[in-house]
Amino acid sequence: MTTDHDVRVLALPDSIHRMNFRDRIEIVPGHLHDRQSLDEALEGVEIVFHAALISPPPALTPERMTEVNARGTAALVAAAAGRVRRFVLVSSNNVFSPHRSPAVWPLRDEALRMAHGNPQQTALGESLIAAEDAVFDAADRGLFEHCTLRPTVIAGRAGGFIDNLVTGILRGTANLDLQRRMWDVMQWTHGSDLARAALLVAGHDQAANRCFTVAGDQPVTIYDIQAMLWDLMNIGRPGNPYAETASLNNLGLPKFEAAGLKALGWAPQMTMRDCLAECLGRLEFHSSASLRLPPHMVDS
Amino acid sequence: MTSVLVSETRSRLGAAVRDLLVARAIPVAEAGNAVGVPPGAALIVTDLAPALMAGVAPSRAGLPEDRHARIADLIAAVAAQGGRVVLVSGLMPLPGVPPVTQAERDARRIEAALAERAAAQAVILRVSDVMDPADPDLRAAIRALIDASPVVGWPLTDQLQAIGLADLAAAAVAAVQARGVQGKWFDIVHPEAASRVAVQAEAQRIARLLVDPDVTEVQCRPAYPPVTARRDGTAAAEALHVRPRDSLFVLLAQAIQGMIAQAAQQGTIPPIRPPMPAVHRALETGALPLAGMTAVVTGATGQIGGAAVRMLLRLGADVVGVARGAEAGARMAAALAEEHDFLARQRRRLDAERVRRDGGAPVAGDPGRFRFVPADLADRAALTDLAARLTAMAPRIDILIHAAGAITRERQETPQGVEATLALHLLAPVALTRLLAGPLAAAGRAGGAWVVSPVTQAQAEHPYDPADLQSRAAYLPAEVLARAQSGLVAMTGALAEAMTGSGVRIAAVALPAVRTPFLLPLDEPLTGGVTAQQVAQTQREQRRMQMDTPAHAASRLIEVMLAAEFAEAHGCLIQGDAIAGPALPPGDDRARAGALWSACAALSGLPE
Repeated sequence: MTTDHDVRVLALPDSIHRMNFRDRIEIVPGHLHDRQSLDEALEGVEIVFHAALISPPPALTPERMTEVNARGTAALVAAAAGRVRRFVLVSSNNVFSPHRSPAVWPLRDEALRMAHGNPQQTALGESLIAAEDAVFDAADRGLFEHCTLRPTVIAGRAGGFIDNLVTGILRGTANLDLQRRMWDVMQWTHGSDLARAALLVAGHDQAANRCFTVAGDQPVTIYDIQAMLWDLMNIGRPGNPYAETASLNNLGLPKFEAAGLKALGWAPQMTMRDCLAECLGRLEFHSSASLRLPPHMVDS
Repeated sequence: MTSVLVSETRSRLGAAVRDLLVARAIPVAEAGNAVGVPPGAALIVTDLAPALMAGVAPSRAGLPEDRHARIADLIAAVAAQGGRVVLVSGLMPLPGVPPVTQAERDARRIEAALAERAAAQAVILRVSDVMDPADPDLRAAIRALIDASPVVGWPLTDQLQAIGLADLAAAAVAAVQARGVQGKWFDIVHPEAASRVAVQAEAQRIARLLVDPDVTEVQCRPAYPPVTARRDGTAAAEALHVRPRDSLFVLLAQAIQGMIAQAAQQGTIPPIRPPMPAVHRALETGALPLAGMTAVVTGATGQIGGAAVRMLLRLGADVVGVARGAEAGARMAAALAEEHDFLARQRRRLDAERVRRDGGAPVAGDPGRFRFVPADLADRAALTDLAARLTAMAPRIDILIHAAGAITRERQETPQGVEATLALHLLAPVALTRLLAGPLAAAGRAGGAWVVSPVTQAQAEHPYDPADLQSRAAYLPAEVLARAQSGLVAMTGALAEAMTGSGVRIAAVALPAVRTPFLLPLDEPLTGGVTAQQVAQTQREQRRMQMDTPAHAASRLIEVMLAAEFAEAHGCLIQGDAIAGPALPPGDDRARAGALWSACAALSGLPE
């Protein structure tokens, strides 16, 4: 909308009420397996932004991920092939091969793919790789140009993963050692930075038929988040009790490098601190009666 | 402030300051000379920075006379227009102590010029030990530090407290904008300090860590003995609202990461690749390691078998799929024929990406072709016919995967009167392997053949019972299946012994539970009220969500044929990513296995 494009949205009928600016955009109710709604949504469209892929997996069955991510994308590709100029796919960094060791950091745009992790994450990775392959193939056949974005954990509105993470830390219920092992080093991308990346590649000549890693600049562990939350909630107060643990747990090396996007002029504008401050605002932690702050957060 | 002049942008600090200003949408003007300085423009003087790089380059030449004169003129011009001057300067020696290094002498001269021309508008940022991870001199110093014992060069003092280039650039930009800071100086430093011994130990630890791609455990820096920081950056943090982000340990790690990447790029050390199973690496690079080979997969229309077929085709093998359902097989053959062009394009694209990424020449070739043969493997007569047909179709069989499986709630028998689970999960794979010994040996002579049998992990807990092979005493479906597969493990060892020297390698692969419909017949009907049924269904779903994906299970089977670590797996059971040992069920011995071999032969109508 800010770039003077007319915007049409294909949305599930029961999600339309959550959409902002409903009076300024055209909405086609439907879903990815409904060819009629796809045709209606694609009529006269130049650029498709396909962001309807689902994750993270805990509440989703592998079959559902396959249905939406793999088959749903294939259906959209079939409908869009030969009709649109560019297809921007918002995939995920879940498609990358295992990258636990800092020796293989930072992962770049050209990193190899391999579904991995626990069975649910593997299923998610397989469904995303299948989605990507459907898009790549249509581009190989010259039916449109693709730009595939692979963002890290996305912060911002509807960022359930991050809200849960933050709430767990604030409530003192998070098992930080376990989460340190599970999530290792993270490098969140804010939704607004992802959106700017999508807009950039959609209109950039040098972005055609390329894949881009999308990642913020700051590598963090769960302990960094704990320390940053303390800073945010104790502005101006010295002696962060979590700073040393956070420092010991973070090599400070980036795990992902958005080299391709940066070469096109993109840079993340939202820092980790911004993401967390926004999350705290969303959780209304100052006034929320349900959020019982543990003593170690209150008394410091 | 209308715009900001950067005194020079050739140094890394000057460039970093310029880039940061641009990123923050602050107008940047070229500081060509003192003529035409816009009213109110600010000036950031970065000329001294290269000489302040952590003491790693004491020989770096000082500023030439004409540069001193130019800086002095710029300062005067900006001051005359009412602008602010930010100077990145070195630490000042104590009063009465003469400057020692060239950087100190230069700093003293420029500060004198600043005091004379723009004292009221000046903001001085005092820095020492600036660390730029990309600085070749810093990298050389770290290299020497890693190799030396004890420390002989940098850090030059007993403790190090540094500032990163990016943080220094941020402080310089903040100093242009902050209120109430004119006429003051600030110590710009990260609060964390470390002894030179700790710096060396950490450099050596990081250097080891960053060349080991197999590390999986959580990485924490050891808590080195604390040192009291001698410098305090609190005033800068409060006045400029900037807190240095990168500690010296982070800067050290970044520098070492850059050094290792550079060495790999130059070929000084081998490239460090993420660990990846051979099958996935081959699939993602468009390689065709199985080109020209023929594979037979039983249970081809099932989930694991179907995934194995697709992977084998992508890796270049021609595949003959076998399954009971003729219609499903025909549908699969039609779908794969239709998909062949898609797979071929995918392979060419991945191959082209490999060439772009890793170099080398393109590899020609296409994915394999698929044919289907219907057969009920539990039926002895059908099995014999199948073997004859396969031998006619493929005089050389390079790969045989026994992926057929089925389970029933009630005991059933084959037309020959053999319990069906035993027939399908033990007798069929053993007999088919024996009946295809000729084509397998032909492949063995030509370079090697593989026979791979997936089994469940439950087989280890339920050894086969020679006294009741046919489960007549009791029929508990899951246990019957596990016992049959325990027998298959034993027969894998026996077949391996029989085929030793033929070039045919045989292994069993124990898979974790896989998310297929295979075990669904064993699910008890849901009972109770609606809520109870929903809870039970949810729990069932949660258990299924923890099961391996069929594609992942299939990749484990094919990995056996491609990965170097399984080259010696002949006659072995493979569990997880490693060889668990000889294919011998717990408590088994040669005599028991021999008796089972005889029993299998008798039930299959084959000679011993």
